[in-house]
Amino acid sequence: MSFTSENLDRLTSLPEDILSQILSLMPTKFAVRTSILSKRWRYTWTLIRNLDFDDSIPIYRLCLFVYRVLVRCETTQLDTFRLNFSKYLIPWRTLSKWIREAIRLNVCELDIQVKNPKLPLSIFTCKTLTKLRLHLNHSYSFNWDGSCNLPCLKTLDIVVHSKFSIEYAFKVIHGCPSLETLSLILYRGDLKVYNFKIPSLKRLKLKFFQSSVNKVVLNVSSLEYLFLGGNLFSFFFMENLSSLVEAKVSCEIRYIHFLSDFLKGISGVKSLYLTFKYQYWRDNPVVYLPKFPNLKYLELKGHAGTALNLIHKFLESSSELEHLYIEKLDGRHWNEPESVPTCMLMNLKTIEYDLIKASKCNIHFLKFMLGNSKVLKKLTVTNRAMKSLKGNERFCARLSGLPKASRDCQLHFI
Amino acid sequence: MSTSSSSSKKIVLKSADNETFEIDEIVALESQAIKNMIEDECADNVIPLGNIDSKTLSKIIEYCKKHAESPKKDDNADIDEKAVEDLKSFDAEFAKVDMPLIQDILMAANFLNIDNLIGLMCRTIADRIKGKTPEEIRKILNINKNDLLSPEQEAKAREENSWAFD
Repeated sequence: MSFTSENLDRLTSLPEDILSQILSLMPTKFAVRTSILSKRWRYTWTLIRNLDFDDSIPIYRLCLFVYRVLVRCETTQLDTFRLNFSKYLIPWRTLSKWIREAIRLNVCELDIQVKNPKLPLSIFTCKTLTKLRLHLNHSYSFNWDGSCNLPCLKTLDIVVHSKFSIEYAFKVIHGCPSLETLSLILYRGDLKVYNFKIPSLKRLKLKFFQSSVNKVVLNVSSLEYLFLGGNLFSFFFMENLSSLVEAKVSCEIRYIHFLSDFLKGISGVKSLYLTFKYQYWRDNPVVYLPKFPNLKYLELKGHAGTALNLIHKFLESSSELEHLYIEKLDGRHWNEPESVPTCMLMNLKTIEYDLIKASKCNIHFLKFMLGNSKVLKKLTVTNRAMKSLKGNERFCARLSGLPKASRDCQLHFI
Repeated sequence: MSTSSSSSKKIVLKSADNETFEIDEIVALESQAIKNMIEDECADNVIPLGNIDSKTLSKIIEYCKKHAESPKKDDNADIDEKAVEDLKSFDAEFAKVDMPLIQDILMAANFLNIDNLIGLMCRTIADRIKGKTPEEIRKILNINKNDLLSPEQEAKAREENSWAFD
């Protein structure tokens, strides 16, 4: 039999699990609506593997039906159970029942964003969970003396809104022996010391929005990727960070010594992305940079005071650097350095330079780079500042005329 | 129709309408079903696919080629991001075809066991019917008129799940 005869209800011949895969890709409400399409579709929705509810429906109607859906659901494994309720509190007994049913269906991924002040503790001993996303709002820590044991959990995503729930969050974090990916966003909740001792962890994303100085201790021997966002107000103690490959920092940095301190801790990294978001230390911040012996890729963005000489400092510290990416760094001065960094003589192959002003110091900077980078293959300059075509042409012509230390270096203008 | 030039091992696929497609083995391996046949040494020179027409099969080969060429996840992280973007836009373009063809591709991908392609076609169908009225969905999916619920059955189904119809 050919699949492709005309005017055929083609999906009819597909196995149920494919139809349920289609229905699992839409909000549960739409999936359940397919029950009236035809006889074939009447109960197909009961095999959906993702359940996704929010408060677009009045809570009193929903309470009844979420439970009914869960009870009628015949899937042997629930891939995702998502509750996104920002308007209403879900009655405690109802929430407990929902979670109990989800656990009965061997739920793998729970995504719970509710206003409720506490969550059913059965979540924290669920053996099938591989991924958990939580928003913590209130003071859980006072009434939770149970333990957390999530043996299969690989991905944990916690947003802390209340200063009382930070300890609770750490109880969960340290109750996951297989944890590989952790995202912790802290809106409130100042601890003096944040201790991460997670040997299995590979990816860590920290976003802190807080105002008091604290201490972060990282003992994460398998960590490959580190992201730091929000504001940098922490002293970092890197007890074990031997596997780190890539670090991204996109922070407000109020005091430059926090940055120096942090960079020292991650100096073994191969790719480094830095976005500076704070403008107050425009003038001559003294950054003590460590040596970056493995750094091959460096990206610098944002406001960084006398930025252009900051770039030079990074180049001096990164002898193996091959790729340099600069975006909208608002440097206003460039003092011709006395020495040429090693990476420019040996390794630097590509430079991408996205500038906001076609100012003299930018041209002088590029002149230094082109004139001294001996193995440079490609310089790409993006000039968003230049409005007039003529001005742009003049700028490009000027750059093209600069002497190059590397013969086969190509210039691209965007 | 010949589709490749390098000297690597070739596999020939034959469609329901007897068109043959010569492809690199690495492209054919995107299909778990063909991979199993090759591993079990059940694959002759020509693999007949009696339930897939040439229009569908050539689309599927186009997909498998692109995905076989793309670097796999565990390669260098730098290339990774660009390749992922490139593949995403390829997938988006690939899915811009009419519904009957989407469904044919889905059925063939299910038969050939190509996981990514099944996923892409399911997402495409879900996006096209999401939020539509039952009448619209019946039309989009070309649901057989003989299979419709009786008015009583439909009323019952609506009542059971009334919250979903608000």
